[in-house]
Amino acid sequence: MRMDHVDSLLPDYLTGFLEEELRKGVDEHLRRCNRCRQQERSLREVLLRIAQEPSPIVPDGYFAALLPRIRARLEDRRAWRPSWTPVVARIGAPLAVAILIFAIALHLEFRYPSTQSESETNPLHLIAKEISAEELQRVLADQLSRQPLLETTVDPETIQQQVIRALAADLELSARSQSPSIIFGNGVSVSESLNELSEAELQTLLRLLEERSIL
Amino acid sequence: MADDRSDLELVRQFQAGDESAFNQLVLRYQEKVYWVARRFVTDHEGADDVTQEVFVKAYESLKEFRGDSSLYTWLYRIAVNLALNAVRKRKVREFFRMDEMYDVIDGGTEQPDEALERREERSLIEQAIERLPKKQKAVFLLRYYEEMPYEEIAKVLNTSIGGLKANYFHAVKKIQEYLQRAHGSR
Repeated sequence: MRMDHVDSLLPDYLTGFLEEELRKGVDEHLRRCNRCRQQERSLREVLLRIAQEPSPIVPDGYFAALLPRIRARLEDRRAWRPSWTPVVARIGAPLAVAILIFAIALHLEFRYPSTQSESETNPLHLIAKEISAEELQRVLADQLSRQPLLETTVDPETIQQQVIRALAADLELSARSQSPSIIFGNGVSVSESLNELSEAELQTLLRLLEERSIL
Repeated sequence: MADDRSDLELVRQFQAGDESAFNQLVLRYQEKVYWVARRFVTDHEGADDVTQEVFVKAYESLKEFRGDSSLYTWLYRIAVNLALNAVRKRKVREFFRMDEMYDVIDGGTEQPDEALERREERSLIEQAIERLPKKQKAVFLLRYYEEMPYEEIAKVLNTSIGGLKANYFHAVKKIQEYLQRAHGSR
């Protein structure tokens, strides 16, 4: 059986999940392809290392106690839903998100004057200046969600630090709470507000993040 | 005593009002669901929360389950989606907490050793897996740890089967590169 390079078959080959015929084909290919042999050796090493990783620990008796806890959670949901769900889901949550975004947007307008400054050479600062507060939030979170793609050339924490440095000149930093946060204008804290977001509100924010691709 | 009713029989009985059939499904799949969640979110507390949510969501949706896919695939799909959501939510929250970034601007209140120690609490392999792009991560976890056939992975991820093997290969390759870089920087 003749094959081009066999990269995509190697993980299954090395973990023993390749069908007999394909396995023989890979064997044959490896005998005459130095490149794939090297690839196979390095993947073998990493898969061996993953296999040697100790299994995560599960607390004793966890599974025996899980069903009653799931039942209890179901009961809680049932008890909570009839009175709250329609109001919160249909009116409260969207309203809260709208108010939060509006409040932040209102104060950010004053935080990004249109005067020239040397920090404008920083591409992150430029982005922060030109977009709305709502989009700014997405950019900040997008930095984080995109770290895996950027991480080959830039350390993930460096990206976060760059974002914060770029914004530090325009935003007050507060150490009032134990967990430092950025404070917008009249004291609206992104950190605190985000932690207070309900599940539905957070889902809305996450959906927005998914739809957006910046940088 | 082991329950020999099939998944579909249990589902039909639950749909007909037999609550104990649902209990049986939980007992049958709780460990599988937990381990999928645990691989994605890495800590026990997060995995526990996702596992409970999977079954709560399953309970609420089983009335509409028609058996177009196997229950196993259906549950995995819920588990993977909720686990990925949990990971993303955590990232957003961690980002806005910004405890580490604060030190950069403030001149540094945290000792470098402390920050390093905190990062190293998690193994390098966990860190490498966490940094994989979403699809590669899902394919790797389902194929390597769950030993799931590609056909099933495609159904769980609601994607075509083409390219899954390449996703798996690239995931392993990226883990290898991450480990190499981590060792090189020490």
